[in-house]
Amino acid sequence: MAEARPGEVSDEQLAMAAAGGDRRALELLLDRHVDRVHAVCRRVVLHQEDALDATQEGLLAVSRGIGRFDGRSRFTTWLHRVATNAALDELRRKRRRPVTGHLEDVAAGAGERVAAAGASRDPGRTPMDGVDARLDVDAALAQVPEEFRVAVVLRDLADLDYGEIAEVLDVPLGTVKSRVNRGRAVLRAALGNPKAVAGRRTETP
Amino acid sequence: MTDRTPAPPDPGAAGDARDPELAAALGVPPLDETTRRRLVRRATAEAEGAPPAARDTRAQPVSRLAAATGVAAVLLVGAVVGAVVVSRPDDSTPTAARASSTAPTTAAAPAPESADTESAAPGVVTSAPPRHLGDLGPIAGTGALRRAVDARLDAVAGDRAAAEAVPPCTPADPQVVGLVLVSAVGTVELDGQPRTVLVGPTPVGREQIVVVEQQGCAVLDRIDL
Repeated sequence: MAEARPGEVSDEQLAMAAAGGDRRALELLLDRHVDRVHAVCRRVVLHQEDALDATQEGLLAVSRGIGRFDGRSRFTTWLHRVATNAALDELRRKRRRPVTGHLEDVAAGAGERVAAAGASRDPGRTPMDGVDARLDVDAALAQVPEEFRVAVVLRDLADLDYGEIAEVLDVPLGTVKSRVNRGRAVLRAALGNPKAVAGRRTETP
Repeated sequence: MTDRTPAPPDPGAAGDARDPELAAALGVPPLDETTRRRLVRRATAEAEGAPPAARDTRAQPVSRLAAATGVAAVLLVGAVVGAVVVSRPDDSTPTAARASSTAPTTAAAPAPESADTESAAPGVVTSAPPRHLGDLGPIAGTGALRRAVDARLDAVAGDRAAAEAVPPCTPADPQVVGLVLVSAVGTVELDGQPRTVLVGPTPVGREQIVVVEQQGCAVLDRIDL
């Protein structure tokens, strides 16, 4: 995902310029981070089309709210808050809709697909290989409770530290750690990672 | 499971470090260039239309003036075309051709798409029937609606209106819904509610989808194409 390289204008500089009405700065900023927003939305929403909708809403929220960015926190922290909220809003909208939700479908098929992936896995292959693995990841993520999933996505995909995640989610640091650890455990188990089994064993006396 | 109970040990990560294996698993391929551009363009276009505190407020009166000028120009052309038609009822010359010889062109009013303008003079707003998008079916969210209309517009290009199936709340006067003309109409079940969608250029030249309530015909949403 795009970051400002040495010699490039920083995110914060661009954001302040955009907040001052510089449309080109806003465009550069959005272009730099659109993949980042999409990645977060994709792994929270677990559906390609809905993730694109959430990404669009997230970018629109950045456009509308950039005037309120005051530079006191990192731009990426603020961006992830916006992206996460857009993704969660999309999930909420989906739950309100009368049509069958994809999340339920993904979750229903998750066990079977993850099991199939585990059965076909050879010793040298990681759970992340190939196109099937991407489906496996969605299915596995669907088994992770939403608030844990968001925490894991922000930590392991977006690479935010725990303090930033606490700021994004507006929860205490301890809660973030708990959610990340629990989310990872469920995710690893769903992906068939043996280390997760060891982790889960510690839960049973 | 709740996050208030003690967390289990985290076997795959040392302390608070990022887990490289999960990071690799969660990775999402970058968007293609077209999608990136579309997402960014729409977001920045919205920023121009929205009223954030930092926006250059000098642009607003100019936009309003342009919109008002566009609407006035459309009204003027409509009146002239109408007058010509009424005053020469037995003339065999096609209406649009007559209009082209008598009416000024409307720079502020974009011409409809080629499928609807095959008999129209350049720059003249025609009364050609809108293309029929049909029923778009159940759709959730404005983004999905935008994509569905996009796709359907491509699919029905060149197909003229099905006059016997005019969707509810298709306005006789497009200005009622803030469009210069309605170039396409259809129906949709948007987020579980029956709606009519109208497509056409706005007075400032943006191609827009207008979502209309089927009972009461109130405008509910505007989505830039």
